[in-house]
Amino acid sequence: MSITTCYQCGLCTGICPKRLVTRYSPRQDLEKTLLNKEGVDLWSCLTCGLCSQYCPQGVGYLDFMKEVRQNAKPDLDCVAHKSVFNLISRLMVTFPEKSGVPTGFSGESDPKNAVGYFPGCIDFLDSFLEVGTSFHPVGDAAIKLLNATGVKPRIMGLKCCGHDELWQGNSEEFERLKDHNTKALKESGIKTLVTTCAECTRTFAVDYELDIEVLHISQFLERNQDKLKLKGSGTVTYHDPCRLGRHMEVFDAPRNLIAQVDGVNMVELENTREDCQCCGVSAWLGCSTESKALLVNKLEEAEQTGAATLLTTCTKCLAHLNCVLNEKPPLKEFKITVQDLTTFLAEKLT
Amino acid sequence: MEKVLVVGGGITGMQAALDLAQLGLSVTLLEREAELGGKLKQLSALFPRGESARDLITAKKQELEDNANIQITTGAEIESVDQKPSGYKITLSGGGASFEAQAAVLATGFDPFDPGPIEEYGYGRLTDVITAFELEAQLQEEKVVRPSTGSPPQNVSFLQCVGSRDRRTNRYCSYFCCTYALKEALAVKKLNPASVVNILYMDIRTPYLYEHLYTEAREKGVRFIRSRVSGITEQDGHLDLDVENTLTGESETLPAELVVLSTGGVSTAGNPLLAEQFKLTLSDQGFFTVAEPPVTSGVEGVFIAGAASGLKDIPQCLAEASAGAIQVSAFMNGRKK
Repeated sequence: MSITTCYQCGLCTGICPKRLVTRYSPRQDLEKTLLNKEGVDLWSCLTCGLCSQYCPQGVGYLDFMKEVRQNAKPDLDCVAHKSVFNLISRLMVTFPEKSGVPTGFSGESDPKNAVGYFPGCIDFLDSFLEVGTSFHPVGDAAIKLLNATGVKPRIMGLKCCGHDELWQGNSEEFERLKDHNTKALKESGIKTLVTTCAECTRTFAVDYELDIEVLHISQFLERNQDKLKLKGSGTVTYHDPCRLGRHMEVFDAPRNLIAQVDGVNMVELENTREDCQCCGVSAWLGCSTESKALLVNKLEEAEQTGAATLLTTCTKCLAHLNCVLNEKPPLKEFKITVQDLTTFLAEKLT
Repeated sequence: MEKVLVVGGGITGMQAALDLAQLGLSVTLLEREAELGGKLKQLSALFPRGESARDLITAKKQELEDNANIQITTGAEIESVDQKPSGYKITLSGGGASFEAQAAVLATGFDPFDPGPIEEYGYGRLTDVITAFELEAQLQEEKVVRPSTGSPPQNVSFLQCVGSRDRRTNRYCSYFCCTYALKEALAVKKLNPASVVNILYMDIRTPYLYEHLYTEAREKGVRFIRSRVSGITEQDGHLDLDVENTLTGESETLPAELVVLSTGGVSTAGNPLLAEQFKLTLSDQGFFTVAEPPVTSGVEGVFIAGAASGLKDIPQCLAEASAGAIQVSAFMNGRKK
């Protein structure tokens, strides 16, 4: 629904995770926009989509944010990690022949396969983040799991999907990445694109106009779960990333795969599925005391379940949550570990 | 022959007369004005279905005139009512006829609120401040213009709760103003899509069937500003409205080329005399009190229908007209035993 249908009831502000730690008011920003007033806060929203889930009028706050951020271009100083990830993705379109995401992973691949796997920015995260976890194994694990289902995927050396440029309002930069990738995907002839990051899934599936199937790896594996023999132990819980959960309504696939692991006990977070709380950061915007407070909340909620491991399906959630676990001096002593579902499942293959 | 009196030839009275005749009763319908139709005569399209008020009156009038059991007297006022064992003896004023009726349905309707006394709105002083009823007259001719220039306004503001929910005028909610304002705002948007249309409101009350009009108005770009206007002044050929948007806390001056006052309703001036004549009681606001909802007055054989007992929309008035007819019929059957 268009924002003009907003009744100004304020449920959005009441439910907004950012409001827990700031004075951010989605309701007021809708009112300001409707009456052509200045002062709309473009950058506080986590674009988690929780408000739209409950809005009585079905106002699409995500689409609203996407629209008002168009060409808004935040000051790059506001972007975390010295905006290095913007620089990397921009280099990819400046030198299109010489750059793309790295594709060197173990396991069996086939450059002619109709199923493509896109690892996303994981190797760049390893290069520039020190958060106590490494990301490259997500790619290795993905190929191992795909191999176990009998698929030798084609490894897609695309450019960055553009998720962060899009949600940062760098519209031209996003469109250039999108054009490159759309052309490359068309030329590749693949029929299915599998990704391991929820952000890539959402971006290719929703923000591109592709005529191929885009799947998060959990969806692909769920379809082939009878081919996977998985065994483990202990208790885990699962965090629905905004991009895969509310944005794409993929809630069951990761849970069905966890249930497939013999010996592993799954417990739900208090706020789960459609109600899952955002990890606290999106598109590298506003990495701050406030976002750390939300990340700590999330980890506390996970520990309260009694689980030893918090699993997720978004590389960025994985980075942000591990970043807080790894903070020095520690913000809080946590016992829980945070792991990507893909590496978790690959370890459990028998 | 036994007879039923219906007082008031608006939509409620007309429908009550038709239903009574349908039930086999002989009806005398009295209307004070020269023409039947009541407030509907001043209205354009009716919510929620958008049918023409004029067409509705024409159709109902035709039905009434075609019915041999209904006698219509317009330009009529009641001079006296005498209760006798055989029924009520009604005498019309001006040396008019007298007749006997065994039961009565009072459907005296309402009067539009006169916003003149609310000084800050400037009604009567500022040419481009009009009432919603005056806008209806324009809409009947499928136009919206500024009285000062005769040209279409680029900027229209509707002010809600004028004469309603205000201890200086009437404390009650007039029930129909939100819905008709939405209807009128949509009509203005349709006639002049480029115009800015604001509705300045405290609460929007659109029960049951009417909520979709609220959503539609928002979808079509009508702007809603939560505020009660504190003053209107004329400035360089347009009006300035002083408002505080209570949702943002900002005070501002809102320009308008046409201001429409969404006036509520009051009880009709004739009610006290009628109450005295039929020994009925009135509420503090001058509407007939109902002893047992929806239409039973507490006085034998006398029923109250439509806005005479409090402000209502047309579908509710029609329902009470039919309820009144059925109650009269039951009462008449009881008399025969």
